[in-house]
Amino acid sequence: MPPILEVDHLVKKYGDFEAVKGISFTVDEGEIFGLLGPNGAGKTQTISMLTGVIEPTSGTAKIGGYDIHTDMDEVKKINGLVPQDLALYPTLSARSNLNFFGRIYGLGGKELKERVADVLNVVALTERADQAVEKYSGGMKRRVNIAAGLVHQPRLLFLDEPTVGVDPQSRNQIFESVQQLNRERDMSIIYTSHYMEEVELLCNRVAIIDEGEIIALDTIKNLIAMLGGGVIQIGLTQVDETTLAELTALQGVQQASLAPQPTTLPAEDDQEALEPERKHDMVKIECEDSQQALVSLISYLNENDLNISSMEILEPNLESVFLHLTGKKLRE
Amino acid sequence: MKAISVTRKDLQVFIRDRGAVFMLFLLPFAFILVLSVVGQGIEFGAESEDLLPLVVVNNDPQGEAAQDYLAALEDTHTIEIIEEEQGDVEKRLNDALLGQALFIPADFSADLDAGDQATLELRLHPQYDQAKVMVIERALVQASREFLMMQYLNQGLEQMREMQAANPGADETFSEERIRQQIETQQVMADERPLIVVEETTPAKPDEEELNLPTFGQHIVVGMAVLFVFLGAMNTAVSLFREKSLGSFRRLMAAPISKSALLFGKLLANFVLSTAQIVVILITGGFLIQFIGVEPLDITNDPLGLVVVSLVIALCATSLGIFIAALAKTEKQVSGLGSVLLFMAGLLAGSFVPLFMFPEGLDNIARVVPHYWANQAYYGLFFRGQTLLDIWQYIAMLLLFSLIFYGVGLWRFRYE
Repeated sequence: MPPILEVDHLVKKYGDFEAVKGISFTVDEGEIFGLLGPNGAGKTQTISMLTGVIEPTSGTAKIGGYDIHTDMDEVKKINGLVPQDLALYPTLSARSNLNFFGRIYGLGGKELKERVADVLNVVALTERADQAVEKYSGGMKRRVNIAAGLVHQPRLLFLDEPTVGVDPQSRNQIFESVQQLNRERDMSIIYTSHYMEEVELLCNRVAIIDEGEIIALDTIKNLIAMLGGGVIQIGLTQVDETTLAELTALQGVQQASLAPQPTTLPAEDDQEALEPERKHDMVKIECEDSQQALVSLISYLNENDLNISSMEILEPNLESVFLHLTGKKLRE
Repeated sequence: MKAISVTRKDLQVFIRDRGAVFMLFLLPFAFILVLSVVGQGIEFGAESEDLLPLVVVNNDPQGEAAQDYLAALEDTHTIEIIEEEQGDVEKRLNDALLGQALFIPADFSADLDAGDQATLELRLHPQYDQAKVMVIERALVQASREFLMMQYLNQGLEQMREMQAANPGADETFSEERIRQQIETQQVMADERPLIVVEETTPAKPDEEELNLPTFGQHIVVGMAVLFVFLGAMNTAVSLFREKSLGSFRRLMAAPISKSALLFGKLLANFVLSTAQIVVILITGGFLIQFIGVEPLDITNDPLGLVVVSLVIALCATSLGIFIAALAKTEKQVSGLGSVLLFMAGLLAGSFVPLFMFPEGLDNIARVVPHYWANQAYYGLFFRGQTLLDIWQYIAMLLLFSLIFYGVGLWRFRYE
């Protein structure tokens, strides 16, 4: 079966600033695909190009076999977009909102009525469908927001940060709805988030995106396997190449290296910071077995009388994968 | 059909917005009722201390009738006569340095003495303010009637004197009934066969019989209709801004609806609301205000003209909305700065105080705002007895404003 989405070197520039830097990926029919990255990484820009909201600067994509440059009208019928904003009319009821968006997709009469009833059922809001949206809780609004993207039965649904500002109960409800749509209706879903737990729970494959580039793309299992048995980050004084080699040789350790340092220059009056030698180095220790590595590491540091300024043990997950790849946390 | 869906949705949103409903329908209603009651005692052109200057070229300076006519004109208490030389006046008129001048021909008194018709020439610059033209015309008609009445009475009395002289024994010649009959006969003659005719060079010349200066209440109906319909442009602008801030534009752009259909649907909703607003205001001014003792506006002069002018004004106000939305950066700018500017434009264009009461020169500045042309179009229909064909230039100006607003709006408007 051909992929529902094929993205080929998609670029978006604003003057000299390149928001999306030639990304390429495919999404299979019936797949839940995650776009994971921090705010400003280029996830929304990518979705905007694929849904016809903005024009790409260069590159192209095919959705359901239709080119986004030449067949956008067909592409729009296949796509469903659930934007990050609550793109609803607050004074209208959920049913009126859904009726409106359904009509925009050319639905009417009995068919529209049935579709609206169906999506209200999917997001579990049938009972309160005739109440003004402004009277809903944040989670309920999010669910109506999702329903508005479903009313025309899209084949490919773009969910852009759909759980921002949502209470845990509604978040679970949204997860269930997403899984139900994928499982029972074979809907392909692109799910963007900066919450790695959500992506880990829902997605088959994940593209990790940062500063407009895809820096890793694989199944969650394979991505986490990159870290082996986890990562220990430790702040030490006076680390040199010999120390790093000795740390790498410890039992349970796969690789020891210096972690990237913040690039911000110190203030001129900060004499301490201006000294030529760094007081502390952050050492990243990739482990085969984090427990075993920790024991041997403590022993080594005691024997060599090295001072520890900080230490963090990162369990193998997408958050630590992102940290491992970029030196930054997802929510920075 | 998708554009109609947008229109339908916008109307649903509007109906649920109590503030907007109040602003669009109840506020102008309240303004009209309050201002027309407060201003009931005001009659334009009657007791004004600021007389309208009228340049007069009297080519019959020795003629008794010419002198009497000018005296009658001054007695209207609306005109200040400024006598000047023909050559200088002609030059200033040709150079567009003068808006109006009245020419009294050399044989004016001789013609009237002989019982022939005499013609006065009122030369008007095409761009001269129509409201001031109305004041001058009204004064000329009033002066002509008073002057001719005196002339006919004198003639009638002279005839009776001659009859008495011919029949000194007839007691009934000077009876009260006889005198009354003679006065009535002269009155009929004055109306049926006016001896003084005023010729204008103004293209849109109204019928003298239909000249009708508005009462303050009537003026306020027109002024508020124009002011509030253009204030409705803010609703258009705010509605466009809210679509952006809600993110619904983004969702709609991902749907199979073109930007032009989307914008058209939104503008159609506001066009419908503006039209409904005009209907409500005109019903108030043309019918309802009589129940509070205020003379209603006669809106029946040219129904086709009224419909066309109202639709064009609604179109212009709607286009102004997208223009404002395109230039403003925030919704606060629209509702704050926008309302102040639109109120000022209405004030400048004579929506509160009629233009003919403005100081000389200020009325020319008013031409830069569409409110001015809207006011002029309604004034033409309601108070100058003009029809659609007579006011085409005002409609053309409103359409031109609409085109500019819509063009700039489409060019500058950002959907995100």
